[in-house]
Amino acid sequence: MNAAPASKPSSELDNEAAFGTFPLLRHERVWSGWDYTWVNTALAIATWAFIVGGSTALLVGFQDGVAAMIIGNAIGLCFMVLASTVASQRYGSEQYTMLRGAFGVAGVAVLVFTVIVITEMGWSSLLAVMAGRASSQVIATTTSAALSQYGPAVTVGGLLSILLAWFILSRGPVTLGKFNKVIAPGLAVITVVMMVFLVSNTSVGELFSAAPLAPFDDNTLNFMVAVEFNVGVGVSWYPIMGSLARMTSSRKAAVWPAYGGLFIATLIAQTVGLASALTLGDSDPTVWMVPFGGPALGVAVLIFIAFANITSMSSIVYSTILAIRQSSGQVLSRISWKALTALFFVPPAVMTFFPQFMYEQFMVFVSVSGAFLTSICGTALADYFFVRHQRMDLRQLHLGQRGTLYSYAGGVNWAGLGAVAVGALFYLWLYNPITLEAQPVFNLVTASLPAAILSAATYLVLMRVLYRNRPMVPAETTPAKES
Amino acid sequence: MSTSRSTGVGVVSPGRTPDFTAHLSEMGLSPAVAEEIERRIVAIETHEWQDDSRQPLSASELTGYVLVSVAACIVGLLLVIL
Repeated sequence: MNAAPASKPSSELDNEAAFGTFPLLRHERVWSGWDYTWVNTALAIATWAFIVGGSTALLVGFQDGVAAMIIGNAIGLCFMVLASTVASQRYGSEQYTMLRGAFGVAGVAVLVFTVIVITEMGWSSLLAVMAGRASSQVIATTTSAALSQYGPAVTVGGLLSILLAWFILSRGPVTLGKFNKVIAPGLAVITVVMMVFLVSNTSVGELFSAAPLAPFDDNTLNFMVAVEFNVGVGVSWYPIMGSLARMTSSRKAAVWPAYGGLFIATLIAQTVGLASALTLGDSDPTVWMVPFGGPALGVAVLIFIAFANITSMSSIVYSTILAIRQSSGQVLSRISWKALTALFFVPPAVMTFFPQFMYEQFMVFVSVSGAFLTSICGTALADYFFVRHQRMDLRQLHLGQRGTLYSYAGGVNWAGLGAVAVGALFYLWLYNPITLEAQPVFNLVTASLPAAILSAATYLVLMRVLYRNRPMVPAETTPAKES
Repeated sequence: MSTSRSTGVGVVSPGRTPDFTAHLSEMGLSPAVAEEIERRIVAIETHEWQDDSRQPLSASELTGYVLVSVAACIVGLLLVIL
């Protein structure tokens, strides 16, 4: 008992370290380029990639689909990686702390508690439903019971997967890392196995000649919507990448593995989803794996897929909880890690009762969240590269409203939030994913890239207008605000 | 007026700044956590600021990165055309 007072600061520091409060030092930035590549592969090759490929198949055939996935991911990942990883890697700091210059302390909280949390809850819900579908299929195979694709067994499986994800997460990031080291190579092997099953059960000729499942009349529009959808998928990694990149040991270990790891792994898994949707009518391996692989192999693969979804869910929720905690100031500091993660999982748990809705609205969800995430990326890029010239001040970042460089009236940098609003509205004007209305120019330039560029330009103009006389980069001695 | 030293990497400002930790404490952080943040920032400023990992992305790195993305887009376009 006597040791308790002495150990309290240590446990407190450990707790804050787990929440990403501290900038990391050289010896703590332990991920090499290969380590980070595996981390990204584990994330990218998760089963959501199959659904993305399948959704692409609604609009275009195989060849155009692969092209749309290459172009879309190349564009989306290009500005997403620059916006999320570069600053966090350099300063070893969590990405939402690095955004205080662009949005202000309260402005970051606004974005985190709206765009980021809703986006990550959506992805978590989808992963839970997919894990539920995999477990439902396992039960149907082993018991010969006739279970619906969206029936109660899916909901029960989804809820159990959330419970398991919470359990893994409650054990901390070290446990999560151990699981990922097994899951990532395993999923890579399984993806190859699935591709072999696909090719052996269909034919290459059939694959290339297969028509898209539900296209519009305009072929150009089909292709551009497919590209735009994949840009949205590339950008959807934004909320978690910076928190991971701060663990890397160099710029090369951060930027290229983030871009290459996500790009290649995503492309392979999406291609499997695209091919299976075009030839079998369903991209979800939980539907066709047992008929093709047989009961034993099929069930084994499905169990692995279900578990992979659970670890993917844990990974994205881990990064999101860091964001929530860091952007809430001291408001959530009294809530324990376990309680905070449990609270986060409540809305995804509710969504498992509507599994069909999650699948059918997937493209709309990715595109609408993409509208906001691309605009956030554009604004963050403009701030870090053009306003701050890649120079931030760690003390001032931590001081926030009590400092000078990143302090704004009410804690909100209206230039940042205004730029995001302008970019997102412009995106939705160019292409409305809900009504599917698109401007003619969308067929030439898509919506994400112009939205990111417009939000960046808007930010630069507003910063010039609103904060003309304000210092933007740290000086050797910076006066601090008097308390 | 109090002062706090800059931590823009590449700008050396060694030494502890009591005002910084005091401000953090006033913001609700415990003294131990505030001290730890300060300790780390000082370590970065004094020992790590010349590390290659703490340097900005160079123009050539940035250009190479963007060109690879453009090349990937061209590959995609060729796939459509051919």
